Amino acid sequence: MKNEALRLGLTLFLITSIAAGILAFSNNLTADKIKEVEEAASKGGDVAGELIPGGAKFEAVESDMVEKILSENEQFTDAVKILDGSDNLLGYGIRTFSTSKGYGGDMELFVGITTNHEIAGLKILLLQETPGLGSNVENDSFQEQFIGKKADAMFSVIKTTPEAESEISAIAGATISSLSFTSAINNAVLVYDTYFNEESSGGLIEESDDVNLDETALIPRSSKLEPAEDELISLIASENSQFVNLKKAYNDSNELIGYVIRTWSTIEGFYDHIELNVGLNLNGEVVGMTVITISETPGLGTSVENADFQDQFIGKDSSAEIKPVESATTEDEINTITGATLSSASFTSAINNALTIYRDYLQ
Amino acid sequence: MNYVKIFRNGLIDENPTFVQLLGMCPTLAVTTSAINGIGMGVATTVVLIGSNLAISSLRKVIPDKIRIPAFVVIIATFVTIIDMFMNAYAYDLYKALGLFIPLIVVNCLILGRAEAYASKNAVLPSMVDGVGMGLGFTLALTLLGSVREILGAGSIFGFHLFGEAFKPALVMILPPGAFIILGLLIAGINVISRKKTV
Amino acid sequence: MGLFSIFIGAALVNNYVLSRFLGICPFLGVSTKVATSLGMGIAVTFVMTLASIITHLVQVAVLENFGIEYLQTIAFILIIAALVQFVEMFLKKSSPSLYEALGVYLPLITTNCAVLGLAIINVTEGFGIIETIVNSLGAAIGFTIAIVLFAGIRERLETADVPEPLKGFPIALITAGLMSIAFLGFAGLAL
Repeated sequence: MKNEALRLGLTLFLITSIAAGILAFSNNLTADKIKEVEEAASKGGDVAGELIPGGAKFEAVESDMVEKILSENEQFTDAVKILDGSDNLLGYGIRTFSTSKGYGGDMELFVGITTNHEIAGLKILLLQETPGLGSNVENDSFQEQFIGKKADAMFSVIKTTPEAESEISAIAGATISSLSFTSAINNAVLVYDTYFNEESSGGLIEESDDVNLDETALIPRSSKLEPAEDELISLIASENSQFVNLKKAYNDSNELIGYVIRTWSTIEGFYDHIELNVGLNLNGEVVGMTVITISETPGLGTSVENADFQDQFIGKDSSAEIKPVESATTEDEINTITGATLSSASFTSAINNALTIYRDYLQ
Repeated sequence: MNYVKIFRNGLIDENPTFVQLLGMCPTLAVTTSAINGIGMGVATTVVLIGSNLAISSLRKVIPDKIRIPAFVVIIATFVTIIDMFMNAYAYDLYKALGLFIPLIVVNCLILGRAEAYASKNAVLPSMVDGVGMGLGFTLALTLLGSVREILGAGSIFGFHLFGEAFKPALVMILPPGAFIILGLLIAGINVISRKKTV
Repeated sequence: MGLFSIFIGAALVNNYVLSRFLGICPFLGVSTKVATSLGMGIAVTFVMTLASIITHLVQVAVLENFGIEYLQTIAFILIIAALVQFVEMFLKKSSPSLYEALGVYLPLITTNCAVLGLAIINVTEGFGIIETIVNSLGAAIGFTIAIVLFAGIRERLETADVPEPLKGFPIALITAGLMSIAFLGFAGLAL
């Protein structure tokens, strides 16, 4: 009895071993080609041309730089230089996941940004959206909205006709997929601007005069804004992942009278995070704010842009975390907008983050 | 040995999908387009021919008590080889079929033929049986894939058939479409075969 | 991903039968009676969870350790086959009536693509051991829900007046299609 079981077991073992041997042989035959094929899918010469026209090959970026970005940016995967046939640097290929999830999961994009700070091309590496709906982010008609634009501002997704350069029209019936795709582009732009754009000061530049004027309006009696020291900005950026930029506000007599902190929310709104510019005086009290990026429901979540909601924050400081509640009774509470609780909470979290940054770095 | 009969059996009389209702999982999952249907059909056919060949050759050697695990190991070997070669030489199809390539190993069609035919017949007839059954399977998958692609995406093998105005029934390339179209196809075939016998 | 969202994802949003098309053969074959379906569901839950744990450990400790990942298909299917053998012997002794009721469908759990599919998915998603267990429980419970619901409907269909060509599998498939549409409603359930 036992002998038979042993014999059968050994026969099976023999068959399995022969099979394993055949497979090892087969593996040897194909392993290299498999590696080649998978590399080419994301790093081949044709891909370089897809990311930046004229691109012929990739070259590695310094590994410490890649390590640094990997440690500071969660969705970032890789960055490479893109060269043309004569080895001239055309720009960079930034590989990143989306920061907000798509319908079926995260997506991964490979974005080509030229040394002129322009988005020249992109390739989708991972997409898990619904075929025929969210998968339409693969269509040229959607992607064209990004190509040729400057990589100096975050894009926002709207459902109506875009008016500004940084506005993108969502795909009808695939808002979540459109937002996710845009969030990946935005992250690539952020990485490019923070680490590869020598002309920027470690935040996102969008130094058109209009914006400057708007920002001085944030702090009463201020007449000009200047970027804060690079080291300070880098320090804050390395420790606070929602922080975008810091500027100092001066009055006519060139005295420092306040700060403008540009930051994302820490809590997601209904659709996505909100980005604010928050003006603080030297006592760390909120004196003004403007919304820079918002993707909330028009008429509901976007009401956070209304004066009566924003006025609640004026005068608040970093002594206590501001709590969004239905019916505010104490100093550290504010009223959420009815029907827009998530958007209100998101907005509040951005203000809180600005106050935290003041408390930790500027006091 | 009437090889034509064996071949025809697999293709029509005992068609794996429409008559025997075997291998339902890949049938429903990968037939989102005609090309995926053909790709999966061919991959399965190659494994089927290979395993029928191997098992038939070894049929007098494999002890009866461990025949099922032995068959499974042999089938798994062919599946892994096909998986590697598709990864290396047919990358786009490999990515499209994804999880269902390794799942060929549990396609009851292959184990079914090994048990019902290859373990009891000579090598050449077994291979022909593999070809017949495999082609029957491929035919069924291609048909299902084509119908779903035409209705669900307005194209066939990637060629768009209709103009911009045609709004395809998206549900056809989503899971429900698979169930419903296959159900209707089988019902249709039932009607045809009933008419034949009457 | 939170453990709860993995669980709900596997059970409802990406239901293994109605969305992923795994486990169709037993789904169509065993679901003629609610009681048998429930028994099948429990047996499958047991096999799926255990198989996932063992295959996960083998993947990490053996296959990846020795760089022989290409042996995954063979290793996994052998583990599953062995496990089903054990479950069969166990059921025969502890619950002969269930063993009789499941009949030939019990050894067929080996070829249930849901078991192997789940094992492979756990690896490709990069789950740790706890996430593997949670995902497997979710998948198995989702499978059980689908098969029991389906059996309930099919029991009713027995007495319904179905046109001749549609009788049997065609009407079953169409019914499954309608269930699948219902489960599509879970999509976008992000937790």
